[in-house]
Amino acid sequence: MDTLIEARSLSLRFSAPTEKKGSLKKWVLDAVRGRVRSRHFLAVDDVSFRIERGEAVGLVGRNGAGKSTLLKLVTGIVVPTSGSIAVRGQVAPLLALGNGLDPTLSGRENIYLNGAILGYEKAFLKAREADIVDFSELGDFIDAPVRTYSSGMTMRLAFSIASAATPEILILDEVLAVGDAPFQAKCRARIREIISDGATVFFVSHSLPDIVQLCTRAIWLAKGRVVMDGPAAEVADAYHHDAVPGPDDRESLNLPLPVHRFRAPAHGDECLTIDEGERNSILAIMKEWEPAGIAYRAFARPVPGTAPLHRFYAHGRRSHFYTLDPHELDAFRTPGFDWDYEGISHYVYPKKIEHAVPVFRIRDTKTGKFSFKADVGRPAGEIAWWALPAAAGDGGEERPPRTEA
Amino acid sequence: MPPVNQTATSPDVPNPYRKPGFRHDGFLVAELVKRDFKARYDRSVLGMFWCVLQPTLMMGLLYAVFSLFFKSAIPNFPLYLISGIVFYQFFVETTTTAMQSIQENASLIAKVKVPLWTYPITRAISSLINFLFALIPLFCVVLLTRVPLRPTMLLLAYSTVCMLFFSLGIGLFLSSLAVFFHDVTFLWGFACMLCMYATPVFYPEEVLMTGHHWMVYFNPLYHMIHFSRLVLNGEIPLLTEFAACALFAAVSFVLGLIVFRALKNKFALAL
Repeated sequence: MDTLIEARSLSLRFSAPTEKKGSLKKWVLDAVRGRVRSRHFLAVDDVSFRIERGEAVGLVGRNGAGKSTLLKLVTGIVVPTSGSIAVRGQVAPLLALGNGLDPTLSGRENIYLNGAILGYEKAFLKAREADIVDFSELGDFIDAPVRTYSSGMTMRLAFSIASAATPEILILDEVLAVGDAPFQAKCRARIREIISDGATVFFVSHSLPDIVQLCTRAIWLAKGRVVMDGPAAEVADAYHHDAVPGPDDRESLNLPLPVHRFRAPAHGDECLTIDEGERNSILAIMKEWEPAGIAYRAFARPVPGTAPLHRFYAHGRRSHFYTLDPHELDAFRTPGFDWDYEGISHYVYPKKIEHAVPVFRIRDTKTGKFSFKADVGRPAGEIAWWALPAAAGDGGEERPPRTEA
Repeated sequence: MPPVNQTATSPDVPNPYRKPGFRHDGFLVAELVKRDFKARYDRSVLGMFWCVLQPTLMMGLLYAVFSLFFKSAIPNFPLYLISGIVFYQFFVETTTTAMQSIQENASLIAKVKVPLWTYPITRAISSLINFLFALIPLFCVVLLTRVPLRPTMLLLAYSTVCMLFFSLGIGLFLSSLAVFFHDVTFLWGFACMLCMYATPVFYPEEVLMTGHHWMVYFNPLYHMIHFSRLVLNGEIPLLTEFAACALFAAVSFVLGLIVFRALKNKFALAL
């Protein structure tokens, strides 16, 4: 096959000084005393892999696992301490959207400046200028200085410039969270397009659904080492179970018809209150809700007007669900507890059911009422909830939940 | 929602990416220089006119101080003064801006693979353009003081190129050092001041010639400014004077380049 990226026992050692900022005097003094103290650690530790043409490889791992550093090694921003990395083909780094934009210049001028920084030819930018402006949806603002843009507009411009060409190798570092929801959808579509045009993609994201949907293969890094390298869904699954320990509840998605069903609420609207008696129930947020930025907040309200006790974010689309475990319910009972969830407990991949849904299951509610509130964003779909059979598991029917949304 | 149609790599669209190698990065450098100027004169009423105004004001001030309060014996003092100032400013601007170029682009360097030399080179080119603008008031003084225009003045190009490479060499050296020790930035401001007093910019060269020969001979700025003044006065410099300028420029540039090349791979991690 046609290998585009090949890493052989790639390592990168950071020498982080024990004290923060370097000063010449201190360095000279320390050097004279024979101790330039620094802490060495391997940000990337003996990593080997090959990426063939046309592969879309996701990179997962916790913060500080070395994902971004690995991407920097691939783009050549950073030179490895040992080992080697061979990259064949034009690399387009979408590592830092907006970093090459100059606030004093107009959007149009920035197309050329940023385009030049990203390695484009002048002739190409001239030919593509109108398309870039169109894609950014900036309209007449394109001739206004970028400092007058909102951050969303800036990112839209940056993404439009960065994605104007189809490179051989596309490096994406958490760039999908750009702009508002419709623009994000457009970004994903554009990236799919680049992938289907035959680009090889190397993609870092904390959003496992994105990894599973965009990538064919995934590499899981922990402390700079490769933990697992294989099909995206399997790696994401393994990584997820490692990162968030909990029972595997995916099978419970073979659900019977919902008991209640209602429109998803607008921002701030309360949508559901589960009564004390309704134990062992599942709340599912159905398909077709807006991709990111939706948070549902669960309130335990023994006393009206108290602070939210629990909050979780269902971010990503269609592809994960949430299960509340008994120990988490304890948290509900702690007054004043306010808990942010960034990663959601379980991810379900579209392979199994048509519309994977985020699920909120309440197994054992001995306390008062729980209600769910749309905190941010505007879900477009429908919310339904099911009563789960007492046998703590499946309904038996091999049927995905249906919606009319 | 507008259509997603940015691809369509139709045959009439030129190849999007530049070839690797510094020969193909002219576009990038040009864009960065343009940015430098636009950003610098952003929101100023006079804009690019400041390129001319700045050296004129500076000369006017120094001229006022030195000709009115201390009677200067130098023949054609205005020209002597402005040639010194213009070249000295060129040196200070090139070294200082090149020195800061890596630090100031830190966020970019850590994220996008761009040939690192483009940053200091861009600053040097911007300074060169500023310098060329500053030649306008210089030649105004030439005309006003009725100095005849002579072909030797074309040799200003020689001292300019020498000064450019000399300053760029120092800029490269300082920029690599400043990544690791920010102190360099502060020290250099002081060093520039020192250079100004150690070089006959506004006082007669004879002051140093009496007993301080070494200060003159080992002062690259002196050689380049002296060379420029000679050619402005219609004299052809001695071969040794040609050689001195070239030697300082070459040594500085090569050393700067060596240091920069040796350290550049560490920039992204140190920034």
